[in-house]
Amino acid sequence: MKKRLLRNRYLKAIGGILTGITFVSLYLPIIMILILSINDSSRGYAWEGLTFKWYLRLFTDDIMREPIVNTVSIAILSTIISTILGTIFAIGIHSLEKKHRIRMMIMNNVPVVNPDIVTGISLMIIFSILSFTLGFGTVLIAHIFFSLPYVVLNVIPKLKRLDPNLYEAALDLGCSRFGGVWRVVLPNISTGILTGALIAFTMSIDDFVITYFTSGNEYMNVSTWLYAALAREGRSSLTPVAYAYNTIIFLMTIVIIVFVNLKKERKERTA
Amino acid sequence: MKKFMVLLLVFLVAFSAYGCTQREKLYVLNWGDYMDEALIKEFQKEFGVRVSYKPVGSNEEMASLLKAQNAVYDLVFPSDYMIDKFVEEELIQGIDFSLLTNWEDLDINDTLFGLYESYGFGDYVVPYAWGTIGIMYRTDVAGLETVIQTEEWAALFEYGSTYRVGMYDSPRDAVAAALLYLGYSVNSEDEGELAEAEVALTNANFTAWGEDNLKGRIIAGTLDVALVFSGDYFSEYYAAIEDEREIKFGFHVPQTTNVWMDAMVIPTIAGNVALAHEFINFLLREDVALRNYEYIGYAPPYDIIYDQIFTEIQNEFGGLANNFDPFPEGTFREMYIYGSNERSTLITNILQRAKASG
Amino acid sequence: MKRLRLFSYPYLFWNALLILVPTLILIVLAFSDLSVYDPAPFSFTLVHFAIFAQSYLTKALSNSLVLSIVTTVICFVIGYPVAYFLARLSEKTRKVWLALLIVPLWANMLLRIFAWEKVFTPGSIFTDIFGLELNLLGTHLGVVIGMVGMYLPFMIFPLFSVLEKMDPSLVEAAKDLGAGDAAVFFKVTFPLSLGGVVSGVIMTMLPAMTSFVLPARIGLGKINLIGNIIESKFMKEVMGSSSLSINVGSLISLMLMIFSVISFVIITRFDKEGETLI
Repeated sequence: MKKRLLRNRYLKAIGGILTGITFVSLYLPIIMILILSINDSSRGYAWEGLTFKWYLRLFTDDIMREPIVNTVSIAILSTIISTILGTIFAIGIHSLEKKHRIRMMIMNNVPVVNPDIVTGISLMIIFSILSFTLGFGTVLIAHIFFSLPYVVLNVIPKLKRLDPNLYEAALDLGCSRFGGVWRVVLPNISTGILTGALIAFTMSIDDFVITYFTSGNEYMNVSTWLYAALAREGRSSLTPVAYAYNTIIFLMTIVIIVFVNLKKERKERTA
Repeated sequence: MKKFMVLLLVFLVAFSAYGCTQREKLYVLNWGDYMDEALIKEFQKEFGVRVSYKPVGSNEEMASLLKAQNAVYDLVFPSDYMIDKFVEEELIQGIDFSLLTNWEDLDINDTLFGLYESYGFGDYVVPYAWGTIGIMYRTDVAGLETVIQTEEWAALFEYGSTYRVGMYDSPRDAVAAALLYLGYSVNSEDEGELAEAEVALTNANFTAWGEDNLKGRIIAGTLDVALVFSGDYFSEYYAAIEDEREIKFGFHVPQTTNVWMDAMVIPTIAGNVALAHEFINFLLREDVALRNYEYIGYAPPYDIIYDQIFTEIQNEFGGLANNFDPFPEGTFREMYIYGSNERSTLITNILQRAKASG
Repeated sequence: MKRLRLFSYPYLFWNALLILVPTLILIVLAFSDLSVYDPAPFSFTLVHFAIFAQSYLTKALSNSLVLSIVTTVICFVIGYPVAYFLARLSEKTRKVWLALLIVPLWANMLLRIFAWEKVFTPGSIFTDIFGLELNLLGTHLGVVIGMVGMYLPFMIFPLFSVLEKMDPSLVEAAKDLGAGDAAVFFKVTFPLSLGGVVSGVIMTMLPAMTSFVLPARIGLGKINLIGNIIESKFMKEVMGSSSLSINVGSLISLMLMIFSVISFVIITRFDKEGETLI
């Protein structure tokens, strides 16, 4: 018994250390970005005192306006489209026979498993062959392409838990084919849809590789803009503004997560 | 949920209204940090148009984007040898000089004109800047400055274990530096000489390969010596003065080196040729040109502008002006020639192998 | 719900257009002298395979394999216990910890790489603030640490999701039957979590193997992975090289696809519909 307690303590210590390493490796860069965003130096070579001017310049200078607008609009559009399409496709796939379903799921998972760079150049080549002009449109298609599978993956398990008789019953009670989906299926899979949408949004807003290969002469999102800015690291790069942008996004995410959880808790308590 | 969707849509509409306006648009493909962006804004205001500025790090990248033809560019800023190739591949079109009202007032520097005349692409280009490749170094490292002044190119290739050396991640410049170090022509097609160059690049023990970020690494102190373009030094010098940072870096142009010219060219796929001419004309306007060249740090190809900028540097920074002339009398300079496709492939492979050897 | 299967047909078309067709084109490019940018009659050839004789490619390949395997092993060694401990927490605390793991992913990937670059630069702002000097730029160790920081969550999430769903009564039952802790873990818990292990390994290893910004920045251009070569072939070498760089790039990409296919086969063995991928 004593030995076992000792071993448990040992295991716990190891677990603690590993968790510590995990959080350091995840948060060290974040802390660095935060520090760089409040550092009074345009190059960030050394600590030169506290300032909040980069946050101000994020709003007054329009240096990052276009990339931010581009990133957010692509993220919102691709999330909406891929969520709607992904849900429809998931329902369709779920209704297939097992053999076909598995084939469809394998197709679905290709963009998830395939390395970004392969997806990026595949799309770049197909757009070239179709003689699409690279730009907003191609980036949007690309983002829908890689977010869709995540929506499908999140919706399918919820569909599996759904009693298939429920839908049939709705049809028997006079619902149309789509009415049944709208009234019976959708409400039951809404958490899956929402998670899928959230993942789609996250993937889109942070994407670099696929946008890099599919954007043309004008479309730059925050990541491709940063890639160019960091590569030149010259007078006009103004990366501290990007640090400020990133820190704001980061803090916003935390606030949203805390807010959503608090709301949920309150709901649960009153329920 | 519904409320959320409505909110999203409102955001979207607001954002798209913010993003798109129905103004004419000019697509510029240029090097990073190679134009005063305040001037772009002025142009946008003056002409009621929008300029999209896409920065890239090398001639090879510009070429790849132009060759792909999957996006429109109206104005590009490549260098001599690449322009030659563009003409050969019919990727650029002739300039209509009658549209450039400011062009007549400008005389191109005789030396520069003499250098690029033989390429025969005069009708396709409006020169933008010219310069050399040289060695940027930290002045706060004891003894380094003397090494650079006496050893010149050898400082990049023989001191890799003493100092942290950075090399340009571009086949043409890296191989040229090695050829210059060995005493050969930058355009050497001789397989033996190129093989020697590869050995030099492989054995140099470089700390880093980079593009426009090498200068930043010297200033940050991550590197001690690096190959850079002449304007990098001047532009960083001005920036340091602006930021009131202590200047701890110097620049040395070896006696024998490469000289290059970047020029404005209009691709055949350009969508708005008239506006491209308008923008070129704007950049040639004396007041605009002066501000632009003050910013970018490279030597203007036009005598009137050059003389003014040169006097300014001399008055303000004195000795700094010594390095400003890309081709002073008594030095030896050579411009790149594109050469054969085989040579291009060979030097690309040399660079890749040298990079993989570290 | 069989009537709803028609919902899935457009998806078949979409995937055919954006997955199958490009893959076929990649294959044609890899084995022919077709030029994507000005299509003309072409013939099949194996000449692009000459790239495999280039030492820089084999070096990049071995770098990719070694660095991604080391990264994956480290991520697994750290990630499994962490996922295990997280799965054992009460639901409320677990949520908080999980959120703490997800939040950093919202920070821009490129900025995080750049931040690592600052951390590994001696005498930088990192030294100013923390008083530490980590001189790891241009080293394999630096690249591995950066990759672990980048991809560790992708190891933890799938592991966590299988461990969380695992029925605790199975462990109880094994214990009741007299199994020791170690036996319970190796005979019950671990085998049951294999699906998550497979997903975690693949989701860590493939991105690590194909990353190109991270090695270029932290490796200072000296440590090149396959992704760097592909980027160069598609974005820098298109003009005027005697070989068709896009075709060579396609060949290298196809080679990467082999890894994806292997991953697929493995995933399908453990989890037919790939649910552990999320």
